[in-house]
Amino acid sequence: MTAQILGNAALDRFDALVIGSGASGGAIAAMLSRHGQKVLVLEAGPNYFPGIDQDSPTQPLPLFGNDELKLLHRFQIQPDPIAEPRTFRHQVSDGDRLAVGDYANFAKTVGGGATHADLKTPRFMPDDFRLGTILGAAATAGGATFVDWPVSYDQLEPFYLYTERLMGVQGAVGVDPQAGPRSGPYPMPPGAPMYVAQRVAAGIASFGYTMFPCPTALNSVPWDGRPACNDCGFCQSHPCAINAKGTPGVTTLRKALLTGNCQLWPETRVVRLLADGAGTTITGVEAILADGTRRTFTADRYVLAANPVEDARLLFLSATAGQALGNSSGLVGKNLMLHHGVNVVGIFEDQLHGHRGRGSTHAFTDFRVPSDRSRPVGGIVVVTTVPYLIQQALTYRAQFGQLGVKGALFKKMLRQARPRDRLLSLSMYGEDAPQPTNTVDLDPAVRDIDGIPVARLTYKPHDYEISAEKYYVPTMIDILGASGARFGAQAPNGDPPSSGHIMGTLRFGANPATSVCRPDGRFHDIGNLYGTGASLFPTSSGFNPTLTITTVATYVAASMVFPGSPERGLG
Amino acid sequence: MTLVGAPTRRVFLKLVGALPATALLSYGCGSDGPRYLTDTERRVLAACANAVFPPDDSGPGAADLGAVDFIDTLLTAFEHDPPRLHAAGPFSGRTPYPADDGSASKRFPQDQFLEFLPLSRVQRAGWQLRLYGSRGTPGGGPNDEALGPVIGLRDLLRDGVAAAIAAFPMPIDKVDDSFLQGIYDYVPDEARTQIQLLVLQSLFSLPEYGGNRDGGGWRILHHYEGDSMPFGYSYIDPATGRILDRPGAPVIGPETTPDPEPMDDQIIGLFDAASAVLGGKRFY
Repeated sequence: MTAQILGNAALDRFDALVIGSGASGGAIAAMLSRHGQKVLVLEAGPNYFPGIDQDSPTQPLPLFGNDELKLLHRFQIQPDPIAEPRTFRHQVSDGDRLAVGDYANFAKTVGGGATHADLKTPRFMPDDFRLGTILGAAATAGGATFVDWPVSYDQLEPFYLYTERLMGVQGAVGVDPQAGPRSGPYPMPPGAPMYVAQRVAAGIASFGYTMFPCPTALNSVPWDGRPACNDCGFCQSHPCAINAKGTPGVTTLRKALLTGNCQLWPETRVVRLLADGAGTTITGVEAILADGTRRTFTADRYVLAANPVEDARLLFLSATAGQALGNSSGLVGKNLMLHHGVNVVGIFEDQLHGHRGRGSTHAFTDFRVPSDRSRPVGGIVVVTTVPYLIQQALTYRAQFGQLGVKGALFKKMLRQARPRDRLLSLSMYGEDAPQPTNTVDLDPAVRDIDGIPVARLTYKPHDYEISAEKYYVPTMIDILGASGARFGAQAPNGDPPSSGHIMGTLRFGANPATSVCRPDGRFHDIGNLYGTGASLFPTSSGFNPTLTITTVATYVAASMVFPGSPERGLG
Repeated sequence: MTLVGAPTRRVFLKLVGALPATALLSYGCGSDGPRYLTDTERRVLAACANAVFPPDDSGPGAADLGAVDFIDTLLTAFEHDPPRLHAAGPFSGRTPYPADDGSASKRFPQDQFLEFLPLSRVQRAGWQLRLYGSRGTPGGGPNDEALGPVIGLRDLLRDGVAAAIAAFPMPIDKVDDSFLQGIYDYVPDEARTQIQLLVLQSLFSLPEYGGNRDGGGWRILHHYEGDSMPFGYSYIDPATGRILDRPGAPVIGPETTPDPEPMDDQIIGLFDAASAVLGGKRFY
């Protein structure tokens, strides 16, 4: 792609420099530029939103499409594991690494990982912000580090409402029994309910659970100059071809660019933060440009908004005297959380046509009641499908190849047992306990295409989420049976979890000994550096995180503009 | 390498008898673009493609659906500018724009998937390594020392096909295409894994990538409509404001057409076995 400078190219002095243009970076840029701050956004990936910075009644269409090959198999927006690998191990005793490849990676593109998320956007529940208190002694059992957040649900609620309008969230009030109080309605009503959801509705109800249309940042009606979703079937892991999905490229980031206060550089990889001798002030960032040359950019303040893995990696790459920047607490890169994704799959004999619609439209939250200490704390369960053909074929080939299925029988299986028609999945995003032993640091030997050390993940699940899995999976399978499935079974878990929900590494809190960033997002150690979004999360909740990522970023940015009274930023 | 189920030379000689004339013909290719694969390599890969997804009464096999063209297009991606790796979009023109009332208009978009997107510097570097390997990349790969060199897909397939030909129990020009399918079992593991992956990608990806000829891969899997934009599957009724299903392709309601091919006892038996392996439940 041509790495054209976007937005106001005339700007040459900046109040803030934002590293990353996704859910966090877009929200930071939108709030700062809205209040007159001059913002420079550096994005490592290419731009596929032509006209993103052009003021027109309808935004031009993106360079995406209903194209499984380039999105899921040819790394159009996902980092190519050959060029930008990550390494993985369960624990330090495994040695330098167990494997090299694509682990907990996020899209690198203008708009970030939210670009191809299906953008289910439930809020976290009020109890999620005070799990340290609720769990009591269990908060530190087995090495876990559950703590209360430094901000409450009530403090964030107006920011949630603001963000829901910014992104364009569809949903219904009063249908989720675990949801917190709201100060206003959703911007738009729920969209088309997929048949698969109706197929399991009675089964879920028979267990006393409450299925509801899951809030989603996807237009059910024309909204904010963007069309309504037409249920094309390519929502999971695919960007929207008609801009109906409220991703940063069509919401926050575009709004920032249209203020005239924002400038965006795609294909610009920040590889080092430059600090003063004491390591308490950032003086610039070094980046590799689209043509491979290096350049230094400066601003008054700096925001890490790549993602929890890359944020931590950058701090380690910027180490002085062998110590990561901003790491007096020793917690940079620690408490990595990935959500413990648990999937049960039902085989149905009728036609479910899961390839039409948004992939998943409904959910239930009855497994997530932290105040009920008589059972494990689970997460939201979404009703979902397997819509894509290559993915289906590869899955069948892998699973049934072991049973000797090949050739003509394999072909017959694909025809008769069409996964989009026969498979229905219940997926629980189990809360992942924070553990200081789950970390991001630098691999000692493996490098990316520019010769820069790659991120190494050290990750092992905690009994907290494993006990929740064991407790709830039998019920999830029985729900499928009660819904008419002929078979039900748990699919193998990812190792590490492949939920795509990545949190922690720069947890925020009031105490500089137990947190990396302050409650307003600023680093305890560095006066002009901020963390934001999922990196700040002290705990992971059991809900899809994108809305809360965007909301926390909006809160941090508002705090930058209005210290001590961030709510003024919403006015 | 010993492979279970692969025919021995003696069995093959007995099976094939006299050499059919077609065996000497190169595998047909609809692509006029640059080629990396030789005619022999194309024929072997076509046989392998049909081993993965064979022709039968339900429709053509992977070879006739363009698997080899798909693979050769990938292997020669950098001989085009931009490289033929990421189709542009967003639309193919296979479905129309919706009219104001939600019905199909008579306006169709251009096929924008025929255009390909330029790659970023990092994307280009990754694909260069994937296709040409450390050996074919100036300066090699970044982790050659730590992890060993990257074997490029071009070399992997060429060497894999050569190894399969060498191991096959009789000269490949002595067997017809149908029997040549057995050569798939002689392909070294790593190359066979890649061939399988590429064949499945070729069957079900957009036809603009060179496989799935005329959407034939989609059709075999019954009423799969392929890319559906900009028409999609639902629309807002302008009279009521309600979201409705498009006729014949429901999102909300049950399928409106009879099941084209229900699961038979053999397929259900496979799920029964898989469920048992996974510790699942059979409910009826």
